[in-house]
Amino acid sequence: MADILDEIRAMDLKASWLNDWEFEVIVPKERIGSVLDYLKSRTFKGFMGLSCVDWIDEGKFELVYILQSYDLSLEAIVKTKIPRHRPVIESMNAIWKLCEVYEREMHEFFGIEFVGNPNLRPFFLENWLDTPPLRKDFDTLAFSEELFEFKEDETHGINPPERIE
Amino acid sequence: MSEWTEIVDYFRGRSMWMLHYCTGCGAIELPPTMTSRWDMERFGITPMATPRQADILLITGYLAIKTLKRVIYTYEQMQPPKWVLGFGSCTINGGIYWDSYNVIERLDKYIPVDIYIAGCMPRPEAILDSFVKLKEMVQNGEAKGYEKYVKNYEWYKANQDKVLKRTKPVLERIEKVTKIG
Repeated sequence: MADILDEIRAMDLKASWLNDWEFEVIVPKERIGSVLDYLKSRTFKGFMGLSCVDWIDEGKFELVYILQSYDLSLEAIVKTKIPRHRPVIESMNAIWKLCEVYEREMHEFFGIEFVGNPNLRPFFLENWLDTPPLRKDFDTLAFSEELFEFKEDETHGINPPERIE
Repeated sequence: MSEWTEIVDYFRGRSMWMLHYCTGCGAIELPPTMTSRWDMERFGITPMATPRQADILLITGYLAIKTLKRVIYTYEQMQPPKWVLGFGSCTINGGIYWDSYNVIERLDKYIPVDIYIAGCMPRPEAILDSFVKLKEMVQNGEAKGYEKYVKNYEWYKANQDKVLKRTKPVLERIEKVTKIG
């Protein structure tokens, strides 16, 4: 099914094969909704997941939507970049209701605002007041030292040679 | 120690019911410990479904902030005498999650631990070894973690509240990066 890629390229988008069963599409932020809608109409009905990559040097978050077509046995990886500072993007819950849960997770761990998602309540973390923890500028070691009082040389009074015997 | 407590401790050590808190990866070592290969029931230890009827709380591996709260609920529901076994290196010092934002480092700051089983993972032999050791300690009247918890409740409660009831950010927030406007 090479023609699906030609169709995507005709929409003025960058697309390339990663291997013989999956391809990636790079989409500007404004067109993400229409591209996902188009792919869904072209048999990519399965929404597999949404993840996020923190490109801290570039100052960008990259959102990765993974779709699957059961008819063509292909996987589509749709990527879009949004600014890292105060990140906002429209919610995809009108296309796949399932997106709501993934967006809730991304909201919690990266602090991304999904406009149109009614359900961005806290998800996994309990009573979280700090910077979202999976952002690369969040110092997990300093957090651990401060809250859990982690000490690197803590041996509970047992010296290493005794422990190894 | 009176003769009566000596007799009671002797029998307590021979019939212990265990509640295993299996949110960590150590849970996988328990089925062989319980079943015919290693068969922990020959020491009088058997799994129990509810905290109120259990004597031993076995914590297998790492505890996130969310699960720590449930462990404390569970521990406080158990009737004394009760004993806690910390299983795996995650309960001792965080293990491989030593710099994690969500995993506690030392279990004995939040509830009293009678025996730690070191290792990642400890083998079923190590678990049985700790059961035998705990049995000896109970029969000699040494395992008194639950009394320690009552006596030092303020200290334990302060440690628990520091993690569970945070009211302000742990690290200084330089700027608001997430909200719009």
